[in-house]
Amino acid sequence: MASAPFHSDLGLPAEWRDYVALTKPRVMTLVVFTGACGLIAAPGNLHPVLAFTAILCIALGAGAAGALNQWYEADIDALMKRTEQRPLPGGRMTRDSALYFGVALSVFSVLLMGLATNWAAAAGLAASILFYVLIYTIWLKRRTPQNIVIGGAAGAFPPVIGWLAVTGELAVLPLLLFALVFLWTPPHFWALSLFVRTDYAKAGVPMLPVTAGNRATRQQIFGYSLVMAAAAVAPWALRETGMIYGVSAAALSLLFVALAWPVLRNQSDDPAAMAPEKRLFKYSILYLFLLFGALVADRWVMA
Amino acid sequence: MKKSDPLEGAAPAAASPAPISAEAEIRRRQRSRSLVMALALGAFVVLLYAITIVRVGGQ
Repeated sequence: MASAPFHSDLGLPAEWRDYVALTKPRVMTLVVFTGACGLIAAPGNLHPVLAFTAILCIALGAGAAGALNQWYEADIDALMKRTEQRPLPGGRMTRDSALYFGVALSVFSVLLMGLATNWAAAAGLAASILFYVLIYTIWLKRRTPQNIVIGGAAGAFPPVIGWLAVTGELAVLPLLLFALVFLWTPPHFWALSLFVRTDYAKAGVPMLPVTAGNRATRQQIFGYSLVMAAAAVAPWALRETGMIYGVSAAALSLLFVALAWPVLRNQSDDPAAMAPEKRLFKYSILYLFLLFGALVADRWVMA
Repeated sequence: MKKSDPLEGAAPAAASPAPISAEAEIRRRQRSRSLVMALALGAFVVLLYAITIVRVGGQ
């Protein structure tokens, strides 16, 4: 609070930009992208207006989950450099404002999804928000070093919701995409948590490097990379996609594992000597974008 | 209803050392928030209209 005396002490109304910041717009890009890819990969035709609305609802739902996450985590966000300037720890908004905003946006996005597409997609969206807020943020994040594994499930919902918006029912491919994002999250996030470890330790969040050490974390990263690579090529192996996706998934995943290898071999505890971790983290984001891009390209060429 | 807005309900103005500039700032923020809200509502109306046309037309 002391960092922003002018705003907080006068109790000014929050700027609209702070509400936007509450929705974690940068996280949203990946959510929107994977959701849109799930929607495009699904068989059948959704009118462009309804497809746009479905993706908008996925984005708003993710934003609502982000707002509720920041409502609950204002205390630990204030202790970490990466998050201390968010609207709540920065003292630019009251906690109640974030709560009302998050709840209203959740209800709005779910209802709009149901009205525009179908109620299976709306149920999926509601489940993803509840999972992220209740199971991950409130229940498990502060209790178990496996928090990231569980949080990954929340991030894996969007392609399934996109698929549901078109078809109204589940199938093998969206479940495989769910598994892929689910298994991708731990190596992605643990790579980050290795080089920002001091922050998590300070906030008392049981991040794996804090509880199990860097060596165990690096072993987990490598192990998950192998399983993730298998999940990435599974849609092709099971003949759910064509060659374009299959070859792309194999090549991209091979590079992922190749970048995870120097992470496994790295012995250093000094963030300055964690170039392999930083490289893997950056590549992991590109990896998911390219992989889902390949899925869409595959669909378009096959169609 | 919003605790963040001191101009609604009983204003804790007595504690503020610089009420004039603070009030101008409050008004400025309220204006920009209202504008964004109006744009969002307008977009929502247009979207709902488009959804209705598509869904009713498709039946």
